[in-house]
Amino acid sequence: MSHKDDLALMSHLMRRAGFGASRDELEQKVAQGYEAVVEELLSPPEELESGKMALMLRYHPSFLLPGGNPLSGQANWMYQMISTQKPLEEKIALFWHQVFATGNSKLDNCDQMLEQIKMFRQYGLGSYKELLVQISKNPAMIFWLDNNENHREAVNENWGRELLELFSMGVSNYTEVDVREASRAFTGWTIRAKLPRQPYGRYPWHFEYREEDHDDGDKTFLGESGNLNGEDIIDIVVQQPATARFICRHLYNFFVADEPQVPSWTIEPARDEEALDAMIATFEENNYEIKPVLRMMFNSEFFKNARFSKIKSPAEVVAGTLKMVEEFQFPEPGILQIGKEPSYMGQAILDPPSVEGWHTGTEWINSGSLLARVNFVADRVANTELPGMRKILDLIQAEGVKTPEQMVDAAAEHMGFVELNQETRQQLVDNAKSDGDLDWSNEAAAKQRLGEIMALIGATTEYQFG
Amino acid sequence: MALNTIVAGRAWLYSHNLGRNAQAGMGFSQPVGVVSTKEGVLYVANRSGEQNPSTRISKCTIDQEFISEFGRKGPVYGGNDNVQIFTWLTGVAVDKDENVYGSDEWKSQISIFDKEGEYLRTWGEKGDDPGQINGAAGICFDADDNLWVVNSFNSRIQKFTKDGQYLSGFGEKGDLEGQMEMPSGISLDAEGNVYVTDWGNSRVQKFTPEGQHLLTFGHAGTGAGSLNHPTGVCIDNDGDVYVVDWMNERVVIYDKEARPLTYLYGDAVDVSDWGKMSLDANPDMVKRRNQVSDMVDQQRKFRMPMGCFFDRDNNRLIVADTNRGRLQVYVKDYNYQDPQFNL
Repeated sequence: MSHKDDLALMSHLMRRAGFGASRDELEQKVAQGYEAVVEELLSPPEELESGKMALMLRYHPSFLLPGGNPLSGQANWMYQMISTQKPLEEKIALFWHQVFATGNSKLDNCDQMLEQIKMFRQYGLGSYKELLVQISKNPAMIFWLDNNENHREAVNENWGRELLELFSMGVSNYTEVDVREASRAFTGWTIRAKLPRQPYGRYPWHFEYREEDHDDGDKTFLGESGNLNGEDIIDIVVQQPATARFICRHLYNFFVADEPQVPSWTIEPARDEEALDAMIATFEENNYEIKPVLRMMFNSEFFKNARFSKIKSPAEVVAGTLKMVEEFQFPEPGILQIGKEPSYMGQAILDPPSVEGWHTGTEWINSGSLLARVNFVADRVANTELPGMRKILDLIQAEGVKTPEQMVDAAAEHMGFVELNQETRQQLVDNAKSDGDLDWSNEAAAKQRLGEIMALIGATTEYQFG
Repeated sequence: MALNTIVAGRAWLYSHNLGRNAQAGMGFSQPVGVVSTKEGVLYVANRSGEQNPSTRISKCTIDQEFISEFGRKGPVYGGNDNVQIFTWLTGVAVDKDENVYGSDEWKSQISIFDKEGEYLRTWGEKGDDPGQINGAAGICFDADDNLWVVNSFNSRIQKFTKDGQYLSGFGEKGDLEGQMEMPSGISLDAEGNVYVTDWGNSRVQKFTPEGQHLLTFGHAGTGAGSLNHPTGVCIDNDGDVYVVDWMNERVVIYDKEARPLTYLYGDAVDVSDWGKMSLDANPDMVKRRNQVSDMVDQQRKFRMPMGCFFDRDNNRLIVADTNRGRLQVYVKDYNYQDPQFNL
């Protein structure tokens, strides 16, 4: 492979396992070696910062306890995405947020949503079984799916049903009786009363197990009987072959390539059954740990060959662009806006449309969301004063780029080695030709032209893929 | 935690708290700084947030009487009336004429109001040259009524006349002795020595007025005497030093030799007068409170506090409990008689 091929592959890895990387970072990581970078993503050194939390809260103390205000919570998380030195930790949190979709629309409590995201950072790469225990005890989830209303004498099946349908096995792998029995096992798993929001603002919720409200009668769940509690249900669920397939297919869909929407998984074959089988085998052989599956996946040929085979989620568009142009590296005034940008593109982070999460792939794109994506990218890459853009344009200048063909190729390369199809590339080149070769004697004008070409690339179909 | 904190011949007694979370009037929005006159009139800097901007200075008494609020908008630099004065209101100080000064860390400006809250003027030019300001954070007055300003972004401490004439300055970025990393709060002792919270290096440094390093308080960490991004600092009549240990959510009290004495974690066991109004108007809030088994333990603690002020005329420590929208007040009691231990 040529050095540029290495850079392109590393760019792919950093887009999927994080939110992109600058050219300097890519060069450094290529020198480090692909497999070593995968290991560092999976197990980052402790001294690296997860995100510039202290800096953000010093200047935006209201982001600590946003309460019912989703915008402050969304900005808080988006700033963590773009400032983290542990990108996979943040990306896996986004992944689990999509799977265990919990929303502020019902909670009216972004503090607890942020606590849930923090939990995903902590447990998201570890044992899936432990993660299920943690999400079962997570106050935001308990309130979201009414398990605080699930009592020994009055069973509420909301959590029990979604645990099986959306969080582990998927439909068609259990009966209504299993839903009932699982729900009985989670009776008494609730939230301790906390101080209300007045007069001193929000206080945190905490999990509480109320033994006296737990149904300790015999239950039969997926063929196993006994006085089952919530942990027993999770033990049984995790060992189901359907669970491994369901979770690995989610991982494939999020990190590798777009799959059909989740509700059709029972009738639509996987995009790459062989790859999915390999992931499932790794998951099962490693006691349902997430990290070994990701290690195998990132190092696989099917991952390396899957460049630009998934449509970027709105959060990826926003975080990736902000990282590329290095806007809001410092939490300056106006930061509130970055949290709501994905909402304009159809993904209000911390507030998914339902417990099913977002539909992904081509469903990210409609006439409104596409316009929002294009405008967001164009507004930034055309701003040649943003620090990241200055660096990119300086590099392009140093490369001696001059002709329209060179301009288009360089712009695509520095936007993440975007693979333009021949027709698109020709249209861009033709457009660039109207103003002739770059004239570096007028540096500002030359850079402005390049910024405009990058804005046009941001509007291409190809750029919507990551 | 205890209401009375007794250590090494000293006693700090929790007095009361005042405030509640509110965007206007009788309440505070992320209070980050506070200053008191000797008559017990308080001026509170409300940082607020971008979503519901209510950046302002609140004026009230230590006895929980709301007087007024000001500083939301004004004719900054002679412009029109509708300009938001502060972006990142950070510090607040009062001169001998009881004019009120607010610092803006983003705009690198100082805005001045009379004691009725009427806007007077703004000064401050952004930059790194002597006399220019780069990130006006903590502010305080010295005995000569000159204003000391922490410049957080270039780690400099500068002294100005009240009208903004540059007098002197010192400091540079770094983590060596005497250097600072994004400093935040400032206070002067009775001798005019300068104490600065070195936020990025998680310590407090004491300098002579000329900028010579004298002493360092604390180091990064969570244990005894350590600090995690300290924000506010103040000094009492005995030279004891109070440091708002922001990310450890406590106040660390050191003696004048930089030895840690004790810690305050917040003691708001009571509900403030303004807080009671909220509860009186919302019976469901009371019902919910009454279901909380550890209500007092939850309520009393500081939540990422940022500012403090020691009222030397009345021996009162006032802590800006930022994310609880309130101030917690302690009295340093010089006549405290410790009861028999085995009662």
